Amino acid sequence: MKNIPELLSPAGSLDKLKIAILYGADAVYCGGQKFGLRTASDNFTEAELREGVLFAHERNSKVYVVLNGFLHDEDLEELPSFLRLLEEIKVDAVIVSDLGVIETVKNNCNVPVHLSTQASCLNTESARFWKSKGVERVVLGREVTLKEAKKIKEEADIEVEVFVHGSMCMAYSGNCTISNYTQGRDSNRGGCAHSCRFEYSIDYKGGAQTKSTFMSSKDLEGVALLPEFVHSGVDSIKVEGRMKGPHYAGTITKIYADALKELSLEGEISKESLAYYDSELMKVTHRDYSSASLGAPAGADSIYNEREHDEKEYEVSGVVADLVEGEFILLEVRHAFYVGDELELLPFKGKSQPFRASSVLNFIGEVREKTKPGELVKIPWISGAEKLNLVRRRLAL
Amino acid sequence: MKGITYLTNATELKFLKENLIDQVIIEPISLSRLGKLSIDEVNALAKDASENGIKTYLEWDILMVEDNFISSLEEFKKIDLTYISALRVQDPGALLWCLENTDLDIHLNLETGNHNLRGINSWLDTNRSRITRIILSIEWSQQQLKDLLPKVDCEVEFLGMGRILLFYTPRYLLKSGLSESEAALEMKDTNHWIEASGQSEESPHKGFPLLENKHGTFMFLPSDHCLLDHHKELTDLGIKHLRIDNRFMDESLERVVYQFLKSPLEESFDRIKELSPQRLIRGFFNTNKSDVLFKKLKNHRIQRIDENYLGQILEVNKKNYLALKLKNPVRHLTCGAKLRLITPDGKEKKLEVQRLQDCQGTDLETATGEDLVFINHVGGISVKAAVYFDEI
Ligand code: SF4
Repeated sequence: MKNIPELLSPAGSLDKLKIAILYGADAVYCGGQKFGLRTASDNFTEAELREGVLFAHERNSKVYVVLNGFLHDEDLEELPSFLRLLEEIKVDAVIVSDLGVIETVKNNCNVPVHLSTQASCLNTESARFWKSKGVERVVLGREVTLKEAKKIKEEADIEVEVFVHGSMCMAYSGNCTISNYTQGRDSNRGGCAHSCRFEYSIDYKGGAQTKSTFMSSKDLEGVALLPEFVHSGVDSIKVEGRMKGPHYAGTITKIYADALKELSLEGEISKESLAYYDSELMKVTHRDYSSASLGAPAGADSIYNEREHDEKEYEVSGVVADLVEGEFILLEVRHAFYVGDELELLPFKGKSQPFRASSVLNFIGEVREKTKPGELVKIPWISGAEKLNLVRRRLAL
Repeated sequence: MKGITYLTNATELKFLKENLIDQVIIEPISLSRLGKLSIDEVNALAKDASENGIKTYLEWDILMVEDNFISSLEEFKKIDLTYISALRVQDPGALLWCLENTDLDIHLNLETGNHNLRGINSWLDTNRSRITRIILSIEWSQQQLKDLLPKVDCEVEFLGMGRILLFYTPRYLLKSGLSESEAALEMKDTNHWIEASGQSEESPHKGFPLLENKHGTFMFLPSDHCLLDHHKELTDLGIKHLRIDNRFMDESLERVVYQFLKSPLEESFDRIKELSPQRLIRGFFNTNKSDVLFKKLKNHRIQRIDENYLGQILEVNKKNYLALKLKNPVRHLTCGAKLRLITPDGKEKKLEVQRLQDCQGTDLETATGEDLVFINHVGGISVKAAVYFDEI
């Protein structure tokens, strides 16, 4: 199948950048230390950015840097030197939402500009407008259907990127200032307090009363719609989630990368594969899934009518830091586990492999009955393991 | 400075004229977020207003996905533009379409974002002769406006009094919580218009006004924006048009507001406060500190790298070893090397490498590139410490 779109994954840290690329991302997006919307994610230092771009380019992947806050004049003064750095280290594009930032990029470097979804580009005329301002790609608002995305791409003759997976802002992106007024935090400069996830009591003017999380959106999920993504001709499909952990970055990237590969080789995704991808999607912490507006404008079934909860089926036990073939895996522990626990290795290619942590030793050979996050431990060798593979554990539900 | 408000029926014209309001916004249901007028009503009202010497501006402020854009255009084309003096748009698609397909003045709504001069100028550069007014966000503080406005070559409109919109989604969030019969009751006598008030135990604010109509759901702040008592400062700043959002005011309040604009007496301002349906606030006018926390939250790990940068500490095992992830593709680490370690909180330690091993515990002569190595321990070091060769 032709026109397989680029798979663009979130990279909230250098670690996650490498994991996403190794699990199959064609491109990743990350933030510098300033100018983005994710104040709480591990934004990259200069050193990390350099290393990340080098790592990506060596593997034919691209790195886009997010500068999508609605910046104030004083922020713009600091931007040119950062832009020159991005150009020097050969970042592949910047993702921008503010016209002042676009102007500043255009005047200071030759890095291509992608318009952030934060600018809510929703129609052909809007895409034509942004193109006239020098934008090479628009990340469409999550309200746009795939059919509309196809038309926008064809008629505005511009690269188009569409979200395929992840959490959703219930408002038109860039059109929510709840946090600004209720928490004193600018949601368009990284301060969103997720007030839309709260439970509200609602008194209707006509007398009805309800209590619900009526402003809370289900998560977006589009694996089954990938053939339609391909048909629409969109250039890139994007996974949301720079704030999420390495398990999310690796697992979700792998699911979509594998599904796209199958689509490109077989021309379709088989029922069995879809069932497998669905089961894998369930292993990552998520709210109920919805295809939101990908097929038709999001309806009542896209509202997440539950309180926010942190139930998860699996967690990352660790990341493979090193290994000696046939002998052991050196695991950098992320979440504590016990000797004897049933774990699962997520290889870059192929299905996950369950195994038992029958022995756990530290570097100097001491037995570790219970591991703790941050330590390096040796566990038994598993065939097919590679550096930066994820090892995860099923949680008792 | 001139007042501007919304016109919803012909009977208001006389009242507005008496109160020296000579420019109004009219909102068709199909094109405006809070519009209630049919196209026929829009055409008739615009004509009436024009005959009364009042300028009429057409509000086309909804955001539109492609299909909505096409259907909105069909509606737009039914409007008789003869009596319309300007088009008010926010969606860049609507802006471009209006510039290319009409010859009317454009009032560009920049109330969402747009907090820098460079961006504002770039919007204006799209067509300086046609974009004759911009509507700025009330998140601009007085000081910021003072710096900005002398440099903006365009008339500026600002919200003087009215609701503060917090949230706009195309999804129908209020209807979805109701049964069919409840929804029918709520929408009785209205054309898809549901009003409610919401509160959450997780927010200290109570009574958020909520509204759902054919364009989606809107949430407002439980306090209204009011800068009427700063009328003079706003004029001095160079703001030319002050918008009075009368859509949620009753006539008695509106009357006192216009009276105050004509002659700003303290008693009438007190009366305004009394009559207002919600508490009045100045929002961010005095100061906007909504990014103070944002600046604090920013991660300030300014770890400049140079050719002496070697890598990062991955694990600290007290008195035994440090695990070091090498990240310098060029420089080699050998036993005897002198290192400088800087913890994330800035503490610095020195160390001479006496032991250098791989993950199997084999002694190494040299390590480089992406290797993970184990070296002798030094106290006071934490995970993620940056490691440098200790050289001048
Ligand atoms: S509160 Fe919700 S709708 Fe508002 S910006 Fe945050 S995620 Fe988006």
